[in-house]
Amino acid sequence: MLFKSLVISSFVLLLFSACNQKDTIVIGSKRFTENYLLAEIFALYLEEKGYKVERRFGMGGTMIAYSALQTGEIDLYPEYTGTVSEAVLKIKESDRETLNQNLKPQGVEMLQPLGFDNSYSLIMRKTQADRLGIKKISDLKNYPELKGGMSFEFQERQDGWADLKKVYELNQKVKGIEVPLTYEALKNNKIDFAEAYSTEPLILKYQFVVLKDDKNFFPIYEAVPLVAINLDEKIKQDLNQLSFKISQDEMIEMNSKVVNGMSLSRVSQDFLFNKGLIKSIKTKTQSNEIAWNKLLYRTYIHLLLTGIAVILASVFAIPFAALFSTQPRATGIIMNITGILQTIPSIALLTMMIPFFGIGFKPALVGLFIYSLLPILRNTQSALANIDPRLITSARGIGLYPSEIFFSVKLPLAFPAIIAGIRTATTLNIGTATLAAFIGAGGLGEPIVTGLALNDTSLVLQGAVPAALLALLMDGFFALIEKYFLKSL
Amino acid sequence: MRNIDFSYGEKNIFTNFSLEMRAGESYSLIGRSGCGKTTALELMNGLLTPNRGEVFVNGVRFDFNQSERWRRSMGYSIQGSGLFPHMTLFENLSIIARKEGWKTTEIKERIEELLLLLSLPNHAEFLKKKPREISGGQQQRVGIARALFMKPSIMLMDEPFSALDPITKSELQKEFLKLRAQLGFTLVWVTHDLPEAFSMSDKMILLNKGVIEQMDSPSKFLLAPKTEYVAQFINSHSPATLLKNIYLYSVLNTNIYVAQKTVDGLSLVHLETKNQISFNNQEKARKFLEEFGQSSIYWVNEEFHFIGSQSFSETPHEINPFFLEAEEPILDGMKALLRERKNALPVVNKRQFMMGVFSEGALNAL
Repeated sequence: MLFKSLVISSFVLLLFSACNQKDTIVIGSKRFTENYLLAEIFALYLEEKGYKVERRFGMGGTMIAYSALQTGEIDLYPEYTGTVSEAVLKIKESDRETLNQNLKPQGVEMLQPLGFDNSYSLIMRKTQADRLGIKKISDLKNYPELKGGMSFEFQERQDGWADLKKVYELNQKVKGIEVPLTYEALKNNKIDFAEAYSTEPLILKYQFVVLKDDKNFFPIYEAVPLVAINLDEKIKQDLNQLSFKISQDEMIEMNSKVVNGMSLSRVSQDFLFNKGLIKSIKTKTQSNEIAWNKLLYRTYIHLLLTGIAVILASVFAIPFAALFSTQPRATGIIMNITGILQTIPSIALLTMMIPFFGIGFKPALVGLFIYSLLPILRNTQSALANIDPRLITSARGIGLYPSEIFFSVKLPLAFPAIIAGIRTATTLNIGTATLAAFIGAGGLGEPIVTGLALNDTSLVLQGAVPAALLALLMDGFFALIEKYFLKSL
Repeated sequence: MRNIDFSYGEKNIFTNFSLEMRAGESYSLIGRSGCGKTTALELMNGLLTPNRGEVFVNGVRFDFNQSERWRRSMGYSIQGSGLFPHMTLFENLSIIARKEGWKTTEIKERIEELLLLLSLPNHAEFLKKKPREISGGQQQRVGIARALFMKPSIMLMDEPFSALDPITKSELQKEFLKLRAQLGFTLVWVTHDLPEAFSMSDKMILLNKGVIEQMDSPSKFLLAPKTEYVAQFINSHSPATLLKNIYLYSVLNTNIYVAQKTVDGLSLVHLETKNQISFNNQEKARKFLEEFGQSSIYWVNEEFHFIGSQSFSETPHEINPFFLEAEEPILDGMKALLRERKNALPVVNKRQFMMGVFSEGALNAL
């Protein structure tokens, strides 16, 4: 009863906070260091200007962040002109005016550029490039045996590897590796060239060389704030104050600091403070307190997400299994369908929800709901099917009606197994829910996703440890309930 | 049951099956597995619905659309008690009464009666227990108590004692017989255990592939098997088991005359028909009995309590007070026959009431 009311009140609270969002500016970011930094700079600057800001950092890719902007889940995020033209609008022109004309019907607006250009480029180990005499991308043509490493996004996008290959007549094999890892791979001779952002700090650190884009293949990637067109004009003007405030070198330096272990917020604050854009730097103790609050809030969101998904799945699956428990064929079909749904990789399932539900809490909830179905459905069905038939005969024999048999005999007897199913679904979901951060649902996955992107193990642990503890805790809790009901049999 | 057709899918169990049972009697349905004995029982209370045919209970046609209603007024008990493991004994006992909206005080009163009737511990702690916390024998008693809760006039039981150990089983059998004598319900009992059928029922019904081979008293099964199948079925059981597990009352010969002294001589009373013939001297009576085929005079008092027997073949004609008790196994009866060098011995019940004689004839069938 307590749990139920807790869930309901949480739900109401959530709806309330969703309605209240008008006052708060929601800032998103994609999942790489520079984007985090820019988003944090936006956030800090707007906070300095007196706005209330919510950070929804670490979205799983351009399309997720962009559709979040379109659906109003976030109000702005840092983007690059080239990405907008090539990946979002799929047009050749990349001047800001044309882009803004094309963005307008989609409810999106691009503000003033921040001042630096972060184009794609290909990089190599300096030693190898020197030895082979490779200076520009067209030189690669003569070395078909070299191996490349590219992110999946780069392999797929219009201005990515496929076109690059055609333009430069390259025929090297490339491996799919996510960006932070390509540098390690390149450093350790696993690959010979890789895609890179031109502001990537590791280029300096690992002594890579940037190959010259001698055929001007890559579009210009000017960093800009991408905002919802209906964002308050005042806010837009404030953000335009940041225009041309960040140079290429400054960006590389900031990136480098984060890679070397300095916190995002610290680097961003230092930058803004030095530029005179904020008046003070928050002390460390303050940020620690905030971390605890954040942890609690994330845990709460995490529990809410898993809890509602499991409750909905129970409400749906238990009567469903009960209804069909006497029809083996129908049960078989349902089991197969849920079984197939279960085999979809969780991250894929979560991403599949975006076209229908946008990003954030809702699609994650639906995805987790689908994941919870199978264990609950299967356990309920098999528990009901495996009740000693003599007890059913006995129940019928003394004159109980079918509904009475179901509620007074079958359901109580199947209860421990049903609880076991809910237990499996819950622990499974606490794990899977960490992935929901990829589609901006928040929860304990947020620090994990961010930590992975920033190569920050302590941040990863801030999400992973509570998530693991939560899973153990819930498992233990349900084990107790299960034991209690088993004891009563 | 009249003109019943019944099949499980393709498998035909009964075709045009009819069976008539009398109120107040006890019946055993026996036969090999698959003969249809459980099916017959489940057709009687609508657990199964016949493809064709009718079932009448106390003269009223069974309504298969309202079989739950009907079943509540009929007792039903199965092997292993059929108690619900998640409910306390109180909940198990009172489940139908609660569904029927009985008041708590009524339920408690009824439970108290039943606990007493079935020699179960009568205290609150016991009723709070779960079935698995009590012994198998007690579970079975509670199962029977639950079946008796709504005061049924008919009890249907499907191998109720077959999961119990032999001692508990025979104990419960004896108690159940007493209970039935006390409450007088009609009993239909399914069993594969022939000795149990012998001891528990007035009439046995032997089924073979959905057909009644014989429906008779246990002694008739022994003495006069109607078909080869019946004879074989009876003989397939080891004689020793039968002898130990069948009690004298089930193989009694009641086609005899007992003698009562009168003012002017004696009168012979036929045990079954109660026909009475008076004689003014014993010699005439002796002649009459010899012609009838009876070689002893069994003296009883006015209440038919046994006094003693007088054999014609022995001299002098002493009155011998020896008798057998109805609840002794046949084996003991046989030993007594040999020891006493008699071909028949009187059998009395616990109140010394003359029940009949146990004779060698009964053994010929075994």
